[in-house]
Amino acid sequence: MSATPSLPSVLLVEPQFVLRRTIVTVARELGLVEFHEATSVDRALRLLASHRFVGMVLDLGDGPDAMTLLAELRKGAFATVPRIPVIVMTSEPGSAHEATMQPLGPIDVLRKPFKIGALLESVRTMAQHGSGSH
Amino acid sequence: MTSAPQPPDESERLRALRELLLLDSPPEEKYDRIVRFAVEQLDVPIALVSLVDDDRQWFKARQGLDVQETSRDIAFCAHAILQPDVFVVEDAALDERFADNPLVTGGPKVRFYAGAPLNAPGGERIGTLCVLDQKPRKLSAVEIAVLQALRDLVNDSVAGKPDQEQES
Repeated sequence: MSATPSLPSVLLVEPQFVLRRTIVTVARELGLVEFHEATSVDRALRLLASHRFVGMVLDLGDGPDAMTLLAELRKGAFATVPRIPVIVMTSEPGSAHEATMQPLGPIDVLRKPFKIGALLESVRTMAQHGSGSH
Repeated sequence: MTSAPQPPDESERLRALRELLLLDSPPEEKYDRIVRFAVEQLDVPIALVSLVDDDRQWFKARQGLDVQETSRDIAFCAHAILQPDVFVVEDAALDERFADNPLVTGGPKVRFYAGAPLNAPGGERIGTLCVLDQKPRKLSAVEIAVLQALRDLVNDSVAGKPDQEQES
């Protein structure tokens, strides 16, 4: 393994094993970002307590907990800058979340199932955001 | 049609494959979910975990194909295991190695094949994670990276690694 230049550090909160691992590996392979993985909101909270991230990709499968996490982030509850770009992923077909989510300012909302290429396009934009604000 | 030659390490390869006790074993969700995901992500009708045995390829996991095994002499995967990279045939009908292959002229009527070689823990190439289509196509760089990432997950399962709910 050769030393890789340091990539932007992004938090990925996604419970599904195959999806999560594939996102992480492909993003690294393409030199896009370095994802830190959390399988649940609980675990994400622990990472947010100790790490600073330049972006977050958040699955809303944990329901209210995931929204609370995002709201707390925006209030500045963690070491990470409150206004980092956030991409949310959801299985919900309707716009039920959207009214609640709008004030929390995600840069993108991806409906599952989505292609990993589509997520990574969004992550590429995020990485540009992140590098611009730091 | 050109059947694939045997790899130089064929006897060690077969020994490594058989020691894994995967051949003729029941389906397992840890492999099935990977081929389902490959079909969804790569927009193909067929994805397989194929193990290349002495005279056959046997499918540990399959999506979109009814047969459990084929003879090795017609297996695309027997070609794929000859080298370490993803092996792609964009249009089998235009490739003299495969144009008159019975999997191309009949049966599943394969036109497109992409296979990422699987490794036993000792490095022997025991088979592939592969995707097939009935129309010619190409894979983008992201799609190849997805196939390789899924192949790595199959390798981890073959090596007996548990799903890592890793935290750092």
